Amino acid sequence: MAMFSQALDVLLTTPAVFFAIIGVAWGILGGALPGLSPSITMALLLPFTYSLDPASAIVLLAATYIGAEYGGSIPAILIRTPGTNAAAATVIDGFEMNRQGKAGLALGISLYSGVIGSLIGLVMLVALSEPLSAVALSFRPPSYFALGILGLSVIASLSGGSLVKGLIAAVLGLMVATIGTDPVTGGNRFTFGTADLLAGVEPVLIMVGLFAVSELFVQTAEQGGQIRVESRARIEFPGIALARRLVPAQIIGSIIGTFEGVMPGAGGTVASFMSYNEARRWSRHKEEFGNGSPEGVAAPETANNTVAATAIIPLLSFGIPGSNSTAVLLGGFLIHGITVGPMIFVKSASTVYGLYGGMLVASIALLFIGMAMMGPCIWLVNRPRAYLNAFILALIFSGVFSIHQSLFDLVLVLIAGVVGFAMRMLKFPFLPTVLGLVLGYLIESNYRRSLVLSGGDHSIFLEDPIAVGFLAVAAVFVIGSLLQPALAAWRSRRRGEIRDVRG
Amino acid sequence: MANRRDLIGGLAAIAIGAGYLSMALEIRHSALDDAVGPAGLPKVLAFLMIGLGAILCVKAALAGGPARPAGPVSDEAATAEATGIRFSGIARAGGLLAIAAAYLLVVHPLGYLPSIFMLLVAASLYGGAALTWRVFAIGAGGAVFYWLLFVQLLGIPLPPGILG
Repeated sequence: MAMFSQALDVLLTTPAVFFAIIGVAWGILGGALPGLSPSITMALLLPFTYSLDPASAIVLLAATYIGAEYGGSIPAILIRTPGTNAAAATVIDGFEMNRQGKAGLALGISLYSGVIGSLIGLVMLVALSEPLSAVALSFRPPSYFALGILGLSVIASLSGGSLVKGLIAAVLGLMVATIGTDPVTGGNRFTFGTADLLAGVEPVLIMVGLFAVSELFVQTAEQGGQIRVESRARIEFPGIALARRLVPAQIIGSIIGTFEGVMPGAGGTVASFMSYNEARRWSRHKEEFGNGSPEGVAAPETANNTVAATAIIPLLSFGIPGSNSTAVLLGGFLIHGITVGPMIFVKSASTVYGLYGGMLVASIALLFIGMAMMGPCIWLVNRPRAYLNAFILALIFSGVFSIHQSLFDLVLVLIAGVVGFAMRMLKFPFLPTVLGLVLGYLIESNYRRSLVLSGGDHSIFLEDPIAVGFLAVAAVFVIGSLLQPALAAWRSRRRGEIRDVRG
Repeated sequence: MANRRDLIGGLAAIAIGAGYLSMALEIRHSALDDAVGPAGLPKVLAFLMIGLGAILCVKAALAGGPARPAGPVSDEAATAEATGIRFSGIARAGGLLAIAAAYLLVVHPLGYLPSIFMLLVAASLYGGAALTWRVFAIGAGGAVFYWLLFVQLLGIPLPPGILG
């Protein structure tokens, strides 16, 4: 009950409702632009959140995430180009429906499935986050250190192609985290005599550089052709009979979206494709999949919007961002001095409950704003890329400068952009760098504080049951991720042998 | 043939690790130092970076051919592996970087409004927009829009420059 009253209080006493609506609209626009992922769309807003109250700032970012997941389906359906990676599965049947003259219906199914997914995801977020974090009230420095290590162990599952590259990216983030004042002695490290670096490098600057600026460099380097939307589709919602038919696909999408959202590193793309496959498996109209099946649009769109809410669970409960979007959301919390993780429900409960309330507003508003934004989205996608990129660069520079009125911040953003561009060119993942950056201080400070408490005795980490639990889970996570490719190869070989024997 | 991308990535990691190590070794000790000290983690990170870079170089030399798509399997991060950036694109991206750097140089003396106008025009032209009156009109409109948004609406003190 206290949660509802606090959420209502935030919604009534702050401009959070207004920013929920703005966030959804901005997210739809960003998601509809191929090349702008939800995380980039969110990162572009980060500088603006400085001047907002904490609840409004976090609601703005979370609502953007919700809007972007729907926005990605617009070009997926209209021009066979997913606006976000999570909308890739929607292309299969969404574009086919468009070819059959049912683009409006496909967009309507996508929109209303997205709303259902967001609402179910929000229910799961509210139900799971606080109980999971309750265990953490008894955390001590060794527990926090182990929590940081658990967060870093996510890298193993985020670096499927090359664990070495994932680790290098993580170490780079940890290196950046060491810049500034030493957490124990207060001495300066890697500041080059510059006062601007004494407080360290703000994660928000690195995120804007890595995600947004590097994307501009990449688009300039590639100079791809202009994509145009010729269709003038109007959103059309399904009738009662079709809506009933979509229910099983939406249930599948929301269940898979919940699990994939909670699992660090999985995310909307995996959830969308898994939901699509399972919806086809359980459908009475299997033959329609791939030929314009409405369920083929409903399942992935429900799943990716469910993920937009459930991916926040590990962030709130343990302070671990499992995806780029939640890493940017974490940046929003850090900007306002809010430490995400176990204590957030004690120290900043009103902000969290305000976030819940704002996400509820955003999820419902998505239905109306999604309809209203159709025209502006098509207009924006049809603008020449050269102008769009120039305006985005100007927005980044203006927004970042507004944080501290410092040109040094702009230099850092540009450096991060160049590093991000190089990482993308050499095919290094970003998320480990962001994880290293945001978890570096937590890990180092609590490791050293633990040793100060124990007089340098490392057995303190084995005497803390929570720390042991986290370290064990981290070990299982890493070993499981390392064994997974070998297991998959073994299964594939075995299937081949069985086929040979049968053949 | 060695995998060139991974080889470059490995060598870059070694260089970063070595540079970071040389700076870590210069961190001064103090009477307040704990058992690990302020240089403890940086040294570990530097050796880790050098070691991982060396492993990547060896793997690149042994594997040969184009790299397997490395990186995350997560949703948005997958864009990093989805892009097919060629080395010839570096110069084009460098041009945009130069435009951005030029903005940093002129924004204080010239002020926000003229600088953002120049940034919009230069970045649009560089991105492939045709050199007509339109690009200047859009640049001017955009500059005024951003000035109204940031300076007038949000009240952010952006550099006034010659107009101030």
